[in-house]
Amino acid sequence: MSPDVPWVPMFHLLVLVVVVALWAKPRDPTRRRVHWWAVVVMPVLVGATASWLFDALSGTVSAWLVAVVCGVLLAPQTCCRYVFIPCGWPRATYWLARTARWYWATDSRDEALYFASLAAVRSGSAKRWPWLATKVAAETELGGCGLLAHAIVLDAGGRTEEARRTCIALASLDQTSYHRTVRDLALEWLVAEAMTRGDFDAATEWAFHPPSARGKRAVLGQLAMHLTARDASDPFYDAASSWWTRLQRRAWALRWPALLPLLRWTLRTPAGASPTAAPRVVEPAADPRDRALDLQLRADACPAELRADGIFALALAWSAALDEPALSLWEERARALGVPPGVGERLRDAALEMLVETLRNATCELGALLDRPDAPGILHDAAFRVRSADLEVLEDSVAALEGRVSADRRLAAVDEWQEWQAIVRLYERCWTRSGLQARTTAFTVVHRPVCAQAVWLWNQRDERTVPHLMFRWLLDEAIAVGDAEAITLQRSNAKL
Amino acid sequence: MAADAFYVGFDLGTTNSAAAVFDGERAHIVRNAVGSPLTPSVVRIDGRGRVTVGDKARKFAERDPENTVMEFKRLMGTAATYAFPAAGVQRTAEELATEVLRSLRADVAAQFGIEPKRAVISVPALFELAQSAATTKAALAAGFERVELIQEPIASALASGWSAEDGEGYWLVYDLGGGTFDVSLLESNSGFLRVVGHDGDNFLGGRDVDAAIVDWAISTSQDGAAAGLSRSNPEHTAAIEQLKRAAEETKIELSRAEEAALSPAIPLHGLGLELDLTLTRAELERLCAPLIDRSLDVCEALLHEHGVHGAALRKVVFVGGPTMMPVLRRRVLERLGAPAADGLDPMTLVARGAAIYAATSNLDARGEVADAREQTLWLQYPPVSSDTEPFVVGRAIGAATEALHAVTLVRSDGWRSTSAVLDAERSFAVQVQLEVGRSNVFRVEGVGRDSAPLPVHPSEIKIFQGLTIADPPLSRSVGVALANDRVRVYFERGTPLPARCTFAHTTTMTVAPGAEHSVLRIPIVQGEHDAAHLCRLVGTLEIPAHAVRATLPAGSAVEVTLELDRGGSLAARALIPALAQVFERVETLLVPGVDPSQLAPHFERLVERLTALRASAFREARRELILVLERADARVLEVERDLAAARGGDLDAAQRARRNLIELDAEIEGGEQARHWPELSAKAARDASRASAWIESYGTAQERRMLEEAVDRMGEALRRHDIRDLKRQADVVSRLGHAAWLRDPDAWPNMFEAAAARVHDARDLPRAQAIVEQGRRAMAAHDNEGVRTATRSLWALLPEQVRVLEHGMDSGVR
Amino acid sequence: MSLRAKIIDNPFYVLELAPTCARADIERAQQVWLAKLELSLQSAMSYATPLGRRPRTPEAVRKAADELRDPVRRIAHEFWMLRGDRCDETPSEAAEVASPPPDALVALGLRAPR
Repeated sequence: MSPDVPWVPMFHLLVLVVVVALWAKPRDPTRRRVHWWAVVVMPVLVGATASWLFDALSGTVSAWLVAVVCGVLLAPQTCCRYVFIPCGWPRATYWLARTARWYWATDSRDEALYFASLAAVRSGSAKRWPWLATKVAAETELGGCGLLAHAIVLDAGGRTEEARRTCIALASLDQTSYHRTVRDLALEWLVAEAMTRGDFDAATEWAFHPPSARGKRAVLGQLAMHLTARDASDPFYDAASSWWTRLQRRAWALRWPALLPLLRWTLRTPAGASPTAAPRVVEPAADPRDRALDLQLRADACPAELRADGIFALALAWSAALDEPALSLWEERARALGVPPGVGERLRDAALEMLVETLRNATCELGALLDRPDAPGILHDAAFRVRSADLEVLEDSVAALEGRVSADRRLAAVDEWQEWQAIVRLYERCWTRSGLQARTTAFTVVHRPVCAQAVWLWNQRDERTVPHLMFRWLLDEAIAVGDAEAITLQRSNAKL
Repeated sequence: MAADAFYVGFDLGTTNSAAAVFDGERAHIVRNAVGSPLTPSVVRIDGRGRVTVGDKARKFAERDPENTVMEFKRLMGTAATYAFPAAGVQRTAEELATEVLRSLRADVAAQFGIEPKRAVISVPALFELAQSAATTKAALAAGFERVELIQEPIASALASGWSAEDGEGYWLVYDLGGGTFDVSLLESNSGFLRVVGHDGDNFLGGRDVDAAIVDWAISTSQDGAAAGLSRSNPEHTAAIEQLKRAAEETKIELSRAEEAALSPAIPLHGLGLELDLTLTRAELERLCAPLIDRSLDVCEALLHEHGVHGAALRKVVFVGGPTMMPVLRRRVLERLGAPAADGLDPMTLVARGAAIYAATSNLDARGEVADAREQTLWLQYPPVSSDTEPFVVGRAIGAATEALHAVTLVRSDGWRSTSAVLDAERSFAVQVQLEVGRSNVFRVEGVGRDSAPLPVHPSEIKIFQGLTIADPPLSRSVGVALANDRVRVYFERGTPLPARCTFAHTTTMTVAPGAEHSVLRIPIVQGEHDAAHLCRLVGTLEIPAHAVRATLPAGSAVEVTLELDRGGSLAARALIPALAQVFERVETLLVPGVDPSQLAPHFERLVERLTALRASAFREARRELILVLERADARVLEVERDLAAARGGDLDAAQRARRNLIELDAEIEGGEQARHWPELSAKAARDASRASAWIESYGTAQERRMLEEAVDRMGEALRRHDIRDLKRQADVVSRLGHAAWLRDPDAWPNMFEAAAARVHDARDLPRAQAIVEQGRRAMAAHDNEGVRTATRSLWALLPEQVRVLEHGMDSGVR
Repeated sequence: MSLRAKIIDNPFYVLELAPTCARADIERAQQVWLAKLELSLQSAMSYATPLGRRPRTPEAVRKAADELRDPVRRIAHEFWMLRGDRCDETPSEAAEVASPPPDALVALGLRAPR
């Protein structure tokens, strides 16, 4: 470096320009801002660091130490990413990342939580998680990164389903109001989780969910597409994704060596293969009662394998086993035992209870079943009970929520989030089991209380990200059920 | 059963208690120190702290009523205490029961030379869990090591059937004691007695007959001062008590004579007032009729519930002193149409049955009997068997039986069983034959592989062939109250005890560690009502915030296990899998105390609701509602009477009033629901019609389809009579209609005008007025958006009601 | 109650009685099984059902006898009995499946290796 060139002053000027530009950006609570004093201090610190660095390069050993310390203070998050996280030091990562607030005006606690969660993952030690969970629970306000950290903590505790729901919610953050980083990270998590689970269709959809895929998400998306054997007619198939583009993306995987095993596995696995087993088909019994009992037992034993047509067949079997001709023998037996008439009704009630339980445990959608003209009465009765029970449970939950909000009983931010997620789960259970009409009814139940809670969190608790996600969810649901008034209201809320 | 069997049973009655011993063939009544088979349930504590029980204590009832307590059984399991001012102590009903049981235990020891360590104690069939648990605790405090409970009607039936020759068919046990009424329907089949069902009234007994006579005496008396006597006046308590005792004696005398004198000397305001009245049997019949009819209503409901009609009822067993009244017996037998079981002493039947039950449960009163000889066989067999061919199951134990190969039982008359060879576990099962209706003694013979006899011990057993009974059933359903005011039933009424059950629930609230005053409650209730708030709370399992390891979010799984034993003890446990924690703290298993001053406002509110309901019923000419109201009216009169007595210090009346208020609440609620149904359906139909019109004009295709589906669901809800679902679908229809209506160009202006009309209610009046101006300007300019904005802004300033639902018993689970 | 629970807790299996048993057989069975359990005999500790063996406890024996004494409940239990071993509850045999994919979350550093 020529001693005649004024490098240090040039550094100062460059940094000053950058810092002023960042500070001068329009105020936005979700975007980074720089404190006013950083405009003065940062250039000085950068210059000093550069000086010490030059000294260190010239051979002064002590200057190295000073240069490193200054460097860490200047770029704490970079140090976290490349040093502390790989070393698996969550506490050090957390506190170092917190120091970034001396020059960023936004609250760095959220990001610190996220970095600390990554460090906890790297540490491989189960002892780190309780500390991190306590830190998350202590937050009075959780932003996007904080919720990501919460999702990672949940996943570490085996609650992957809840972690997935949190990331799904984060993926819906408004694109104009929130920086894309959080959404990207959430989508990345979702794609990776879907790949691990073997649900390559879901992985493909998450990979290509807006905003546009890039980095690891793009690579995983390509791998998932290969495994689902999608072809050129598929909307996700980019016409420009020629063999050249695919080669490029696979080559990107080399940038992240950790993905190589997945790449190798993908190339080895034929397209369309699934790691889950297909259900076995068994010959049904001839006698109606035996047939119904067999089908019921199979449904109870393997609820995950149960599909809509299986449930329909079960309902038909019960209907046949409990019709009048079939029950006549049992009525006769009842008379022999001195039982008053009505045994058929009691047996039907018991079968109905079992069918209700089967519907409750089923994961497939049931709405279309009831529209079939040959749907037996027992199926209608069971579906009605399930729907009523689901709606009652939802009503009780929102009533408890309303009571708490009106009494201003506050929970920690993460607990507010969890409680709302529980209501979302109940809501989804309502309509996935009973169809669109139940969705409309369920939306009528939840709309006002959930909106009131979000408003309360925004106004009274100064929270931003969580209410925003709640408004987004309400908007999505209002659109799904066609509630015009709610759509208008939530559109304006979500833009806040 | 060894040759010297010894089984003890106690009848802890409201007025009198008794004890009996069963020796394997007959039940013998124990006589107390004064030679009587009955010991009055009376306790006195004098100035020196000496406790007197029974007849001796009863003698002080008139002389020293402040320190003498009787009839405390109905307050078992409550926190109510009795004061003994001379000794300066207070005692609960449970502690007083301990004294009575201690006295009876001493009587058994005095007569038979054995102080019983185990026993069976009878309780009314409708005793609540807390009351049963209190009885067990009282017995343990009296020195017993182990106690089991049996319902009084079952004990009576057992004692009654023990001596019966032909017992097949249905029996009704009519047990009217001093303070409680129990009725049980039993079926005797092949020598086995089964409880089909039971019911009763914890607040109906001989005392109520006495109270009716007292009321009659007060109203009939020509003495001015006596006519002013009132049960609600605490100053008249002593006088009323004196009058009650006299009434009781008169009532007993009327069992033998056609008329009797009622002429006690009543102490009142320091004077002794003489009453001189004559009560005839006919008058007594008139006074008792409503009470007897009340008991008969319970009987008939029980028979009807189980489909027992006409000649299917074989006999009626009378239990309890008040059933000796001829008027009662005649009325009951006439109405039920069955004969009475003969030759039974209704005063001691329960105690005999309790002792017999102790034998069927193999509850030897001596406890574990140490035997110097080494036991070589461990035998299991029923000491009492209704089966004429039961099994004797055994196992060889000890080194001395290594050579034992087979076992044979030989009856005293020479009959031999087949020889049972020991299996790989050194066990055997031998079927024996019993002679009907008598004690059968069997000699146990062992043989070795070489067929040589081998001595075994015990070498002799005794089995009595007679009536036996199934496990005692639970008298009332027990379950957990849920957040939606429903009950998840764990044990149905009639479940054999002991019993245990586990159900999974989910929480409805978040419990965070350190959150102040945050407790997850799991209320445990007993009763047959669907609504939790109408059932009796027996205990609450609590999960406090300070005890959880981590935050327990709403929607978390909780596994609750309830366990009931035959002593009426309830154990509850909650397992939270997410936290891997178990909670077992159950708050207070006591019958709640009753404060009459708190009952009165509740009663007044119920009366208001009843009045409103009556007005609607007559206006709308709803016949079925009017019948419901008649029942409610009768109950209102009872509550008024009990509240008056409760104000006068009658704790019993207070509990009865509370119970009746719950029943009254349930009846009024049922009536209101029945009344609202037509209103709800009419409103739903109107809403649907209105929404349809708006959607027709302004709705989208999707809204039309959704309205169609919602109307279908409404039809289904109407058909099923489901109020909740009807309300839900009505909400959906309203929302759909409202959304369409908002598209009407005149909608917002109309809403604006409605809001502007309430501007004086606004929190910030100047600002509201400014917004109204702004809105009017927008209307003038036909600016719909501006009108909408102004309306919304105005709404934000107007007061709003937030809907808060109150849940039954503050339950935190569903 | 699920069908599986109705079958494995069926009183006829608990007491090892035929559906045509008489009332006396029920009492006798209760007496014998309670006696054997009191003696801690291994042969009494479990009973067979079409869905496998189940532990037998004194509470289960008492409850079973009580259920069968009531003719209304008895006939319901007769209805839920399975004929023979017709029902096969084994989970579906695994078809030809690919090996599971490597954990992508672990690869991305978002989950610790399990």
